[in-house]
Amino acid sequence: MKLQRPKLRNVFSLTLAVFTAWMLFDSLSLSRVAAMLPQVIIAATLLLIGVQWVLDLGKRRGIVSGTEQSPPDQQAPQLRFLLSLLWIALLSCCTWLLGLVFGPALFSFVFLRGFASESWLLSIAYSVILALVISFIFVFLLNTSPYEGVLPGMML
Amino acid sequence: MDSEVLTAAYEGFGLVFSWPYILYPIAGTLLAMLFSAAPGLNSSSLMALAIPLTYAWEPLPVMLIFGAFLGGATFMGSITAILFNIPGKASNAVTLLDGYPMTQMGRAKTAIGSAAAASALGSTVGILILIALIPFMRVAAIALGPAEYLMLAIWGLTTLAALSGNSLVKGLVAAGIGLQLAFIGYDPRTAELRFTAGMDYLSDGLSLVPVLLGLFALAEVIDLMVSGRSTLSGRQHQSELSGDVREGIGAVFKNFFLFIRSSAIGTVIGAIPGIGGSVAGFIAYGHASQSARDNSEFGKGDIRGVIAPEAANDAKDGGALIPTLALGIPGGSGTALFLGAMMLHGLTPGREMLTDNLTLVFALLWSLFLSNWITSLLGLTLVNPMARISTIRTGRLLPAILVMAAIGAVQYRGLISDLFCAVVFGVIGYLMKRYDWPRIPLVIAFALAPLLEINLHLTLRLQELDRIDFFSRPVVLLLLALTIINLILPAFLGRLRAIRRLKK
Repeated sequence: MKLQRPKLRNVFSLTLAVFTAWMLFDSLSLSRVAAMLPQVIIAATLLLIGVQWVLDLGKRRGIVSGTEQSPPDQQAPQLRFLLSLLWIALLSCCTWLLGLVFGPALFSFVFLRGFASESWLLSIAYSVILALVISFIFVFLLNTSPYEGVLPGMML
Repeated sequence: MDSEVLTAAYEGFGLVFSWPYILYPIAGTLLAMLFSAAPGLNSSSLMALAIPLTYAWEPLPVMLIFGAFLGGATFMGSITAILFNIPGKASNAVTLLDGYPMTQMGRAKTAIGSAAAASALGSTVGILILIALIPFMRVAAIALGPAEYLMLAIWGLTTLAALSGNSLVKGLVAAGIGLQLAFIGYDPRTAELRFTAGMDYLSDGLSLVPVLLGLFALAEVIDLMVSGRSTLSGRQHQSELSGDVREGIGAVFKNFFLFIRSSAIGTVIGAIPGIGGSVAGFIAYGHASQSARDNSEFGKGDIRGVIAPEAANDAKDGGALIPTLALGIPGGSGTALFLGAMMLHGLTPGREMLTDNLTLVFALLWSLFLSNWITSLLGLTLVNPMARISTIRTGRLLPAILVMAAIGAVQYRGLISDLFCAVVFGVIGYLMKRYDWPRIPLVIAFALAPLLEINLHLTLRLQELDRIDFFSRPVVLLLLALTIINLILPAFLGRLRAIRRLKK
């Protein structure tokens, strides 16, 4: 497991490098004027990512003298990270489908019951109050319609 | 300062503090506070709503209430930034960098106390500078051209060296990524589409609000869920929240010269049209970090990281009115809406505004001054109820924070895609935090990139046409000197520290 953590760190650095390389590749199709500043910045960033990669490698192998070894990474709570992403994805889906009034309310109810293990009463009350507050702000106070979601439109 | 200006300042003061006109700044401030505390809302939406409602009013009440709208919103956004890591406005984003770690350390009250004091005093400094500058406003605003804007952007970027934490290379990479992200969308000169990967959403470029919400608010939510902390502060009871409002206020006076410098930075940046308030806070933060003898605690809960951006953010409101009133060029969205309201009431910015309507200008300034003080004082009284929120169980607080972030992202431009964008940046922000990649340089570079690119093109073109001589412009040379100082200072201070250590 100890060997796996630096790999994850490298995956993130690699992702940055791939993104930057893609930007550089994409900039080749641009005119000289449009590509001028981006290419300079992208090339410099790519170079610096490489330098950081070497520094990270050096630190791990203890090659770079005079530098402190980076503290050992804490054990990654991978499952909780994935779960948090799922919860945020659920909020996004609820908002996308049901809009800004009902989507967050439904999400709050599911979150309070599923993640926080709150009581039925609190979960329902929290969600209803949330929907009312959002409605009050947008519909009555601002007299504008908040994002309504794609589901009501599909049903009509 | 000529007597005409002083007379107008006195008359304007008398108008604001007379009955019933005093009600306008008070009501305006309360409305601005309410709007800036509500998710997805800000003073700009309030001003947009108020323009048709105030159409039939006399110019004086309009100036008073809009002055209050301009000044009343900033500090409430700082409270949410400090307590929940959610900036009320983009300009409050920098406050969370040290404000939120202070909350996590149980020093929420101290952070809010110093933010309130820096905010109120910063606005006062900004307004005083504005009053002093009124006679020179027209001349000074005309003197700034693309070359000066370009140097200003470069100067801002050089502050990144001090904000890179333990690794300068990582900080520079983050800044590079921030610049790259800002290049997405139409090229400002040729209108070519760049780096959109065929996605229509990216044609207009990435918006700062979802990027910030993702990098900071959602990233912290993920971190909170992964960490498994039971409350936001890690403490169970309000009584355990240490921190003292008076200590926070005192810290502003202890760091008085930093406060003055930050206020001056805020006023100057605010006076430059089109840059926006967020840059003022970031540059002041960068300056605070760079000028500090020991900047190792910046980003981890250093009170100077709260004082500097707060002073700059509120001082910039005064500065932002300089180009608006003198040239009719708004400094940001708030002043743009204010300009619209002025026009509707037959008030034309420019020389006429600064001569025939000078009393109205001062009424506006005093209203701005009053609203900043009301906001800070009221905000301080709300510290306890708001600080208590940080001891609420995470499970109960997280849905509210997530929903606030979602509403903020979607309602900003009315695009659901902004929410998806915020989620992507939430993951990036969390990974950056986890693997010690600094997020601040990314955000600063992202905010400064348009200023850099547009003015680079303009300056090069003007240079080609022999319309300007870059190195003969005094403001350019001044900014160039500041840039060189920014680049040399960290190395110099580092060497100085090393020598001191050796001597010890």
